[in-house]
Formats: sequence, C-alpha cells, structure tokens
Amino acid sequence: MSGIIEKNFIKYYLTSVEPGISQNIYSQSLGGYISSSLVYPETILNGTIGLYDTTMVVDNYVGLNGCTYINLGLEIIKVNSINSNNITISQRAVNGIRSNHLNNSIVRGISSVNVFNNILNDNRKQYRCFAIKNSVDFLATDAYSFNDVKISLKQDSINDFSNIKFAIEDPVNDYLNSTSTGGSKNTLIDSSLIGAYSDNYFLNSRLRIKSGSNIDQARTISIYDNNTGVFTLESSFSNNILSGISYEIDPSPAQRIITGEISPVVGSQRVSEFVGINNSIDININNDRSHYSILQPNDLIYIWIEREIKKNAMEFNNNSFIIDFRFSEAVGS
Amino acid sequence: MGYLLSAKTFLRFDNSNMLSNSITNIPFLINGTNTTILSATGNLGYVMQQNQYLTGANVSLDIDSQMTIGFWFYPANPGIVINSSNEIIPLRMSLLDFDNNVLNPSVNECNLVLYEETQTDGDNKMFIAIEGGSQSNFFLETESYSIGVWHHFLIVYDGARGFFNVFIDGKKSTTIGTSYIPSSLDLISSDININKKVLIGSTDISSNQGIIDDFFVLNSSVGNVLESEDFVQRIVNNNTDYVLDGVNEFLFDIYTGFYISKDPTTINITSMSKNTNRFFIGRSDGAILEGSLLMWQSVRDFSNTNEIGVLNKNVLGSPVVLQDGFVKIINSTIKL
Repeated sequence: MSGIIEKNFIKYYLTSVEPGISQNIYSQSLGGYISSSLVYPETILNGTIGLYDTTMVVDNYVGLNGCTYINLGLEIIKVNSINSNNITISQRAVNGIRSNHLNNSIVRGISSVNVFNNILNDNRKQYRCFAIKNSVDFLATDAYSFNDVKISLKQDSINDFSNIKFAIEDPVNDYLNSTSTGGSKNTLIDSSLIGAYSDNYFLNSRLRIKSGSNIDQARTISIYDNNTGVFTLESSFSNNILSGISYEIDPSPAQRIITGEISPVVGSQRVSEFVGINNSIDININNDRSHYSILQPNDLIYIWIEREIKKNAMEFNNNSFIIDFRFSEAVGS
Repeated sequence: MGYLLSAKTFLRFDNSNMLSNSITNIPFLINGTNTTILSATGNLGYVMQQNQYLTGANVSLDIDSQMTIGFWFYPANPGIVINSSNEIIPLRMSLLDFDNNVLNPSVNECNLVLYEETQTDGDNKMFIAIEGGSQSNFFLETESYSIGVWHHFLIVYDGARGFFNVFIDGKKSTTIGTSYIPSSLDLISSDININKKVLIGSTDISSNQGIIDDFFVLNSSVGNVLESEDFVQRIVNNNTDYVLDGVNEFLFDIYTGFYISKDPTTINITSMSKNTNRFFIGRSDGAILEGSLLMWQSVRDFSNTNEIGVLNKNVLGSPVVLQDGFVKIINSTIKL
C-alpha cells in the first residue's frame, strides 16, 4: 500500500561533525553524522488545500513560528500570518508551481535563516550535505520500507544564472539491529555476524544499546573484527556488555568537508557523480548497498547539493529547488 | 508508454492534432454551424465557441457501474438571463454529454450531461444529470467556482458503492443533489459531445465559451475520497499524460523544497574612467555605467548615515559626525 501517512516517515536532517547532537548552524551541514535537527521544522496539514486556497490549518504550529515561507510538496508558499494552527497565506506558488495538497501532507517551515549563504568558492560554488532518513521506528507496527527508491531534482533553480546539482552518498553500513553474545565495557561481541562483513565495515558508526543496564547509551565503533564479531568502541559503557543484549548500529557517517566551498569526493564506489535536472539516481549506487534499493526503517542516505552561481549573474531573490524522493511501494513490516 | 487499461478516451487538445483521441486513435469531429475555426491556445486546450461542438461518434467505453471523467477547465461567465417575467435566472451553458440510447432504448434522447450555470456573483456552478429516460431523476450540483482561472475537475462515479463525487482542484466538492444514484450507466458505447447544446429537459441556453483541456474518461472509479484526491494531485503535480500512463501507476513521490532567499551578484567592476565631469564604470557583464561627478556631489546632503560612513573612509584624523543637519569636522582632513 502507499497512503499519505507513511510518506511522512521520510525526513531530511542536517549533518554534523559529531554524532548524536543537534546542528544549529545550517552552513555547517557539510557531511559526517546525521544530526537530530531537521533541515526545516515540520508539522502535518489538517485538511486538503485546493489550487487557490489562501488559508490552511496545521496540526501543530509551534515549530513554524517565525517562518516566512512554507514548503508543501512541490509548492513554496509565502506566509502572511500564523495565528495558532491557522495560517493565512500571502502568496501561493512563490516558486512558480501551484499544487493541491492532501490532508496529512508534510508542512515544512522555512525561515530567513537559510541552508545556503553567499559564501562561494572561486568557481562560484558551494556544497551542503543532508541525510534522508526513513525515520519510522524499527519496531513500530507501521514500520514501512520504501522500495525502488530513486532521487531526482524535480524543480531546478528558478534563477537562470544559478545551477543546482545533487549527488547521492550511500553509508558503508546500513542500519543493523541484533543481539550481543558477550562483551565488556568497551567491546561488544556478536558471533552471529562472524564472516558476514569485512573488517572495519562498521568503522565510525554509532552503536546503541537497546536493553539491559546500558540502555540508550551510544558509542562510536573504532574497530570491527570480522573473524570474531567483536566491536571495539572508542569509549566505555557504564557497565559490562552481557550476552543477550539488544543493540543497534546506525548507518555510517558520510565524508565530511572542511568548509562549504570544498567539493566532496564524488564518482566513487559509494558516491555518485553530481547531476542536474532530468537525472534520477538509484540509491543502490554501483549495486553496493546491503539493503539494495530499499530504504528500510532507520536506514538513511546522504544527499550532496552543489549550488553554483554563474559568472556575471545579477542578484536574485527567492530562489528554490525541489528534491524528489520516488519509490514504487511502501511495504509494512 | 502504455495507457491504463481503464482509459477509454483522452483528448490532449495539442495544437498539432486538436481532435486526436489518444486511446482509440479515432478523431473527434467538428460539428455545428460554426465549423471552420478550431481554436487552441498554445497547447493549453480547446477554446469552445458558439454554435460549434465536437463529437466522438460511438466511442467504445465499456462503462457499467464505475466511471471517472477528468479535465482541466477555464470557465467563462457570459452573464445571467432575464426572462419574460423579469426574473433573473442563470444562464445554462452546454459542456459535455454522453449521448446514450442504451439507458432506455425506448427513448431516443437520453443523456448523461455535464453543464454549467452562471451565478449572480460572477462565478459558475457545474451540474451533472441524466436527462431523458427512466433514470432522469438523478442530478447533482457542485459548489460555485471562480471564472477566469484554470480548475481541474474529476468526476468519480461508483454505482455499486453509491456515490457520484466531484473534485474541484483536488478537493471534494460539497454537492447538492438527489439521494438516488443510478446503479449502472450502461455506457457500453456512446457518442461523446463537447459543447453540444442539449435540447430536451432543461435546455442549454448558450454554448460554452470556456477552455477545456486534457479531457479523459475511465471505465473505473479511482477509489475512495483520499485516493481520488491523490489521483488529482498526481495530475496537478505531473500531468494527465503521466497519470494515465500505466508504467507510472504504482510510482509515488515525496517532494521536499529548499528555499534560497538570495542568490548573490557575481558581477564585478572591471574598469573605471573619468574626465572633468563624467564618470564611467565598466562591469564584467558588459554594462557601462555613466554618471555625473557634479550630480553625485550635489545630491549628497548627508541626511543618510551611510553617507557619513562613506565620507569617513576618506578622512585623515578624527572621524566626522553629523550634527544639526551639518557635517562636523574637527581635527581632521577630508580627501575628496
């Protein structure tokens, strides 16, 4: 099946140099770990909006306070006022695309604090990295996987002098949920994994304990030995890891660039080339993803954005672009 | 590309072939007294005219208890009517009819009809009715909609489940009508007329002068209300062609917009030149700007603090300040 609700599980997060923290500086979304911060605050649309409606109702306006624009599907909308959950619209189709929006669609608030700034390199380019995550809980009864996922650019820059391109980076490891067979304060042994992966396959990924005395504690993996199934951690847990402990490993981090003016390495085994509109990229780059083209619960992929302002471009206000996450079906667990 | 199996008629109204039915490949024909001009608006539909209508003759539809009609529509409101008793009544305008003799073979004229009526506030309403025959006690009336802008209409009929829903711009319209919903339309085949006046029952007073585009008929209903709204959204977000393509039937999209408040200028000053009274600046985009030195100096009244700031960039000594409408210079020299 594929209704509206399960589509809301796909969320865009900022990235961070450190794991497990929020990212409050948009221009520092330059790869590394997924942060806990959404690119834009979200809520849910309450009721359908037709092509010409100028009011809308949302489920929870709090995150939208201070936002001057709203993204709904393919459309960017200028806000006149936010009065509790009732929003009055100043201008529809700011980006030139007018659309209707279904009940329970995702409403994203956009403020003047932007993902992009005006610091470009000598080639007038800048780069950002976001994580696209299937955010549904692995154990939830409605834990949907998204099949045959492809990413494309649905709406290009509306400034003729600006180019937007994107590239996909697959994490080395996808999300893993398993049970320990032993360990210590700084190691976790899972003999069920012996021989399944290469050494250091999980290097720098976050391992989180889901049961027992260390529940919800997370540590970064510094060594993985495929012959023994032993994870060695950068720092110790509070207590020894016993056998039978549930744990999970987050998808591994992306490459990290030092500043937004430096291009990430693209065209490698796990990173596509930068492409523009009329191109779609299957998330199973070079057929190297363990979950193939399926984005399972807690899985994520990274998307790099390259923004270029051409030489001799005039100043241009209110530019935008739209990323398309396409799938064939959402399958419940 | 392969069309949905349920697709029975699809007129794109492209300039290149205005009358082509993409499903049957049998073109519609121009009828009426005004048959010489077929007007289009740059791939944006068929401009309907007085005394002209289009007919698809005996189109195979295979419609029993499910039907979906969809089209883009740019309505026009030519005004209301004052009848002989000075009562203002709406102007009824033709739009679509399915000329079907099967509903009741004993009656020669029995149509599933879509027509518009003008409203006194300048908006229009759409009506759906069966006129003639044994099922002529069915009709429904939509909410009014504004003229002069494009709307999408989706009419979804399901006789087995007992509904006749109308979606305007993707939203289910609150309709007024009979509680009776025909269990079957029996439209195995039918003439499909666009903008032909219906002359029985409530007579169409006028031909329609709006614009219709991407008209299609399915012999299935597109599910419940949510699924129908989703169907329209896919048409609006992509296009009708995309949604009627069976290859795309099971593909879904999640869109995420990114906003950039300002793209900076990358235009640079590449050269400057001046003589005694003119100043020229050459830019990297090829533009040459010309100004008068005297003019630039004479309009500077230092009412703007930015002007004081500019002045201080050329000060030797203590910065100058604005005081009582004058520039105050103490222990400093200004290099101009």
